[in-house]
Amino acid sequence: MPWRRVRSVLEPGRHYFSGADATVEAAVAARCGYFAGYPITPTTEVLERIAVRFPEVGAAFIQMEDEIGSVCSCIGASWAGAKAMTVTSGPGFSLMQEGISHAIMTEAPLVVVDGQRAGPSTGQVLVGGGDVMQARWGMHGGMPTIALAPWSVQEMYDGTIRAFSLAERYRTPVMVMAEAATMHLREIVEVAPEVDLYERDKAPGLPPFGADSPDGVPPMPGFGEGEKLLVTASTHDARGFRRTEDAHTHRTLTARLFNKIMMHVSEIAEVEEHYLEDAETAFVAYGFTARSALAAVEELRRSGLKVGLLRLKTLWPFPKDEVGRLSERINTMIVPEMNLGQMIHVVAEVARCKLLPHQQMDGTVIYPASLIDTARSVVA
Amino acid sequence: MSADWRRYLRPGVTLPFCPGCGHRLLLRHLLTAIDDMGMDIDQMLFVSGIGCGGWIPSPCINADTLHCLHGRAVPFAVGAKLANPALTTVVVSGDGDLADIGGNHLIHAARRNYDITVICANNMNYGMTGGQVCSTTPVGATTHTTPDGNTFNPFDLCALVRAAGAQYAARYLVTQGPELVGAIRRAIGIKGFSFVEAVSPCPTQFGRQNHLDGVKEAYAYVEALTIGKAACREPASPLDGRLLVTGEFANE
Amino acid sequence: MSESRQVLLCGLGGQGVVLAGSLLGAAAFAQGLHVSGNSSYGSAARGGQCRSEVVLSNIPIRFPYVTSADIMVALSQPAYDRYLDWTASPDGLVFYDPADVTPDGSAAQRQIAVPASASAAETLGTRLGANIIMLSAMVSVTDIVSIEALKRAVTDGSPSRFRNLNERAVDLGFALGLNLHFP
Repeated sequence: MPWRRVRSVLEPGRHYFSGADATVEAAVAARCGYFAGYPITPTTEVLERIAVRFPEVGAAFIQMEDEIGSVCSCIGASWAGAKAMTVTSGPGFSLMQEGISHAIMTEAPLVVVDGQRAGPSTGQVLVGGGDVMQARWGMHGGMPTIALAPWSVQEMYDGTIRAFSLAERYRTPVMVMAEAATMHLREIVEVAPEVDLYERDKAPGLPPFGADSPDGVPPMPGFGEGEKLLVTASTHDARGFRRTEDAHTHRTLTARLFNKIMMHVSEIAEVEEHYLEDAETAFVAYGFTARSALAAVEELRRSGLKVGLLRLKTLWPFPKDEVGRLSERINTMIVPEMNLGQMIHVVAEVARCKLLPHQQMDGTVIYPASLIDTARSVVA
Repeated sequence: MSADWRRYLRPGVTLPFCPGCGHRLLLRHLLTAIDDMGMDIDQMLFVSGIGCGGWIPSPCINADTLHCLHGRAVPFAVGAKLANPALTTVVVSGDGDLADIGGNHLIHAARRNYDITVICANNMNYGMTGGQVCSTTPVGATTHTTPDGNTFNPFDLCALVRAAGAQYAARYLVTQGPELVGAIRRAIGIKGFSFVEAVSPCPTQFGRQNHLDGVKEAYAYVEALTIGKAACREPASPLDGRLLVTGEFANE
Repeated sequence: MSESRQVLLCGLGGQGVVLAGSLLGAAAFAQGLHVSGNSSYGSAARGGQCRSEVVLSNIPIRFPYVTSADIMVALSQPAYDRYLDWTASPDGLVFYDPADVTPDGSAAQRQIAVPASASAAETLGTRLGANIIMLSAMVSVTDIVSIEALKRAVTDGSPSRFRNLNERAVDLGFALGLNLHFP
């Protein structure tokens, strides 16, 4: 069975720590064996804590010369059998995109945490949410990805553990689209005594890049296991032989890479509903902004307004069924984002109700008061 | 020299090199060294970048191979080695891949002294993309992007990695079989970062553009560029970009 | 304590604002309260305008940032000027160090002078520790966390080379707070 229940490494119970700390402890809990990163505000705290924590638990840590080296060394480590992670922020996330495409093509499990800051470019080191489309379309070639959107320190812990399992289950890079606000937030985290982990599927001798079904995920051997692996990100057949001029091989491979994510959306994508039973207006929000939205919803409910929240815990693959269904029974969806409009485009593809953007990109979080104003403008 | 090196070739693979390509010789020398050393091939990992040099291990060698992004073979190898230190990890890639786009990774890996071996197949140009200038192209040589001749001094890669901290560096022509096999053996045997530069003629791209109209001429050209370490009074740098000093460069 | 209290500590990066906020949060956590904390980082925490926000509550916290501070602790004039508006008016409490802050006489909030740096210089022989004196005096006045919890947080959470100094500063601040009077 690929699922394994293990004891938590951190002492079970309540802890008070930051999102950065939670990221590290989640990696430890998930038995991450390799971390490579490069300092960048606002995620250096992760690097610093890992530098202390990983040696304690016998995992490898390396500060690389840049983010390109970081993500590439993680892929090498992943193929050598370790669960691997890197953490960065906007500019570093851009540098990692080519590596992410390599991990997608070679089907290397990998966790990339992006503590988003306000771009473009160096911009501000303060909070931003401008990388969520990059998590889907940043790499060349345009393959589906998995990206989570934690809204609390608790979810930085639980969500990052889940990211490792998703990465192993689907043999793909999983992105945790955190925000500077959550990275730096200190909150109470409840650590469970045990953790469920999906461990790498091994089946010696089976082709590492071929599956029985068009949406299958092949077992993953590692280096040093006598499999004489041929790992390449060029177009390859089930055994890894390059077939760079063969249309059929490319079509088959990319279709499976597409299907293994897109035919499993219901298993991967998670949403959370708040006050939606009788709602006429709903926020569709993610990450830290969803907290503001929930605070706004509760305030608006106190004055009798039928407002709710659909929280996207997963951004990619996009939970379009849930969003589409909700749109059929409400009047208006408000999509607040710490960017100038990204996820709203995907919401628009499936929504059959009125859509209202609420966009802010200035290095500050969206406060509940401004969302209350926006919602009131709809209801009025 | 026995024919034993062939048993390390991946079954069913046709060697992908142009006629006269020096990389084919380098592949033979590498596998001969491994055979001589009695290495457990299942505990070896060959990592390569993009370009003609990247095709030396992938798919030719019947062992674990990782074909990487252009320029990034070294960090991929570093990650694999740190995650599984039991793997004897050998990077085989081209000069453009390792020294141009991947130069920063190369010097940092040397500085940190990771226990990996990097073998650079130096053909003095970007062969796979059709023959463009790179950081090892001799001054005056013609490429598609230096039609009037290269004006920039080339890197002395052995001096570069030695300055960065490599435990061992060596440079030989691919035609210097015994020397190159010996250098590869020593490099793999060293605990720490080791570097071997195999000067490998490229008759198809570099040769044609420099009016070296046959394989023989292409080989004669690189041979004329090189001088043995002992014969060179100052074994420091390729003089004016015209000379490549062959030999071993290691801690005395 | 009412359902939820919002505390804003502010000053110049380097004055110990971030540490003070994190100690307050740790004390509240140890006491079993719900708590969230948020501080400046990057260049702001190294000589720029620096703030630390702590929200304490008897019930789970929805929005973890300060939206209207019940309590502000100001260690520098620019920080005071910038964040006074963030403090509830007229019910908010403003603690300031008169050595560094000249209060706005027209402000509606209740303002309390805590001579923290003078006290630190006089008793501890250094201005280091003024941040803890301010924090402790505020706790003494407001009872927002117990002094025992704060002491434990200071002992556990101070960098080792400042632990002894900070422990003495807690006591100093607490005693100062007991004698403070405010409008």
